[in-house]
Amino acid sequence: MGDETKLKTDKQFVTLAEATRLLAESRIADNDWSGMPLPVPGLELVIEPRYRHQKITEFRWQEYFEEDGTRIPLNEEPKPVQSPAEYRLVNSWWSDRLRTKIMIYHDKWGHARVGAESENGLWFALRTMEAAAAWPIQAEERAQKKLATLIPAHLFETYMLTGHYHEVSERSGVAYIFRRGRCSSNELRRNREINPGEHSAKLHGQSIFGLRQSGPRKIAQGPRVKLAVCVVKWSPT
Amino acid sequence: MLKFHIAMGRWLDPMQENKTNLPGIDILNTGYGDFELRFDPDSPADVQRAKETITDMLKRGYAIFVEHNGKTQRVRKFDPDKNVYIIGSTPAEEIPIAETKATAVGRSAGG
Repeated sequence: MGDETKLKTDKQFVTLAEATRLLAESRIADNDWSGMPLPVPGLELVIEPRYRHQKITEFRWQEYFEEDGTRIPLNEEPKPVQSPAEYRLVNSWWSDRLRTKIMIYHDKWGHARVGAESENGLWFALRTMEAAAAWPIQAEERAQKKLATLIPAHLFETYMLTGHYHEVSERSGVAYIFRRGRCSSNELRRNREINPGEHSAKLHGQSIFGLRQSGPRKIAQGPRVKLAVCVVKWSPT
Repeated sequence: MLKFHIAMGRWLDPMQENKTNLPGIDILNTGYGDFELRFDPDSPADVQRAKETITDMLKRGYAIFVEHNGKTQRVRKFDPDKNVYIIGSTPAEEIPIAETKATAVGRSAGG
């Protein structure tokens, strides 16, 4: 994991979820409260620009092992060095009407530009399942326990039953729908008739407890690999 | 098992429930879930580290929430000279960090 951290484990092989937990404990022991996401083979790690550990996005696994010990080499190319982007993403949201993701950029002169990115829901679900290989269930349990102290009991029950809940902002009248495993939330105007088919997704600036891997997001790029029984070999240097 | 009790304050052992009433911040930590950072308000070193942590969090776009008058309020600023969270524009909307437990959540990268 570069020279940023040394991992403390007696195990030679760990699952990605175990590696994530070890990494988190290692960072905490080093006075780092922010934690660190673990790259998943086949998925590109996208990190908020102000997040402390930007270099983690450059890390690439070299190999992984299936449970029967079969070594699977990975030939992921290092991310090419890019010149500084001339465009900066400033906002994005899902347009239900256009069935696409609208993105707003600023160019280097500060002028706004618009772009669109199609998203396939099935691919998103598959990628989420792939990324879940790196999520420790203990962290999710701990986050849910915290969530239960932050929202009313009936909302938490709804969340446990359905995987999402909603909350209306007293100030703006916007209803946010928080969904498990999805960083975005939907918005509905209180003064409009609420029609589930009419809502538009909104990029939510901050994450919420109970959403897995809130903060960094993983998106697919490059070759895909089988992760269902993936274990990785530690080579922390 | 790692023991988390370091100069910063009470970095709690993850295997144990936190029963302390010390002030601090609960942080949604990537890979760890809910991480509780406590500090001793009588320890200058603890307070200094807490100030640095809060300042760094706000600089990095973390949302910090505190309980005030029975409501959850978002921290707008932090005054490191007075050691108070600022949630509004009046003195009544300044909350000493030593008198509250805050909750911090990092920004999303999108999605």
